Amino acid sequence: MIKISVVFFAGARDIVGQNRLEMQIPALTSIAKLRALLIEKFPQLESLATRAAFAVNEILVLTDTLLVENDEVAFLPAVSGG
Amino acid sequence: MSMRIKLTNEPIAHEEMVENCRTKSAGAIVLFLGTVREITGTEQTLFLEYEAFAPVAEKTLLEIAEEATSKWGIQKIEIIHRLGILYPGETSIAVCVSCPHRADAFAACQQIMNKIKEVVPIWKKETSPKGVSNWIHPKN
Repeated sequence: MIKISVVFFAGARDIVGQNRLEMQIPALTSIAKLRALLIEKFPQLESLATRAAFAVNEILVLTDTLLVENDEVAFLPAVSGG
Repeated sequence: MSMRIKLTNEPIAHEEMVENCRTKSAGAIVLFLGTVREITGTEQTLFLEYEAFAPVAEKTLLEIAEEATSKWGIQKIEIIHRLGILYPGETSIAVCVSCPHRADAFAACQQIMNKIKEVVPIWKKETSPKGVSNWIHPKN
């Protein structure tokens, strides 16, 4: 198992109830798998999660990216800037 | 070519952006301001609150500016996005570009705004006069 953290923004943070979550996950879990784990833990997150983008250590990544110890994942729900 | 990207909690000084983009080799400066709209359909907005994932938002804005610069021959470009609480009429975003010709300057501003609304990690929360707040997360 590895330790990672996930940071949440906007509506996702409201659903999760905190802006940072420490998690223990199997080594080399993909972002897609992490997304499924998060939906399992927070079912209300599902509609945001299906359209979310993800960053790892402040770099936008695709969902097949594999996570390693101490990665910081940012869960980025659909954006509404401008 | 010069480029300035900024996220700020302060009001946006757009006149200064226009002067910064002025150059002798450009024949056109286009400034776009996005402002807080009070009425959307039947809903009234008391204020908006913007938040960003700043490190990625800045990087993404820079990439958008670089892409537009090479595509449209931009000579100078400034993009400033405001964060925090904004009331109707206030400026939430300003994009200013200078190009040799106006068609490119207009097109660049349009493309930059479209990209910003699609990919830059910035979110707004609407609060109504009744005190109801909602984060806006577009569904398409």
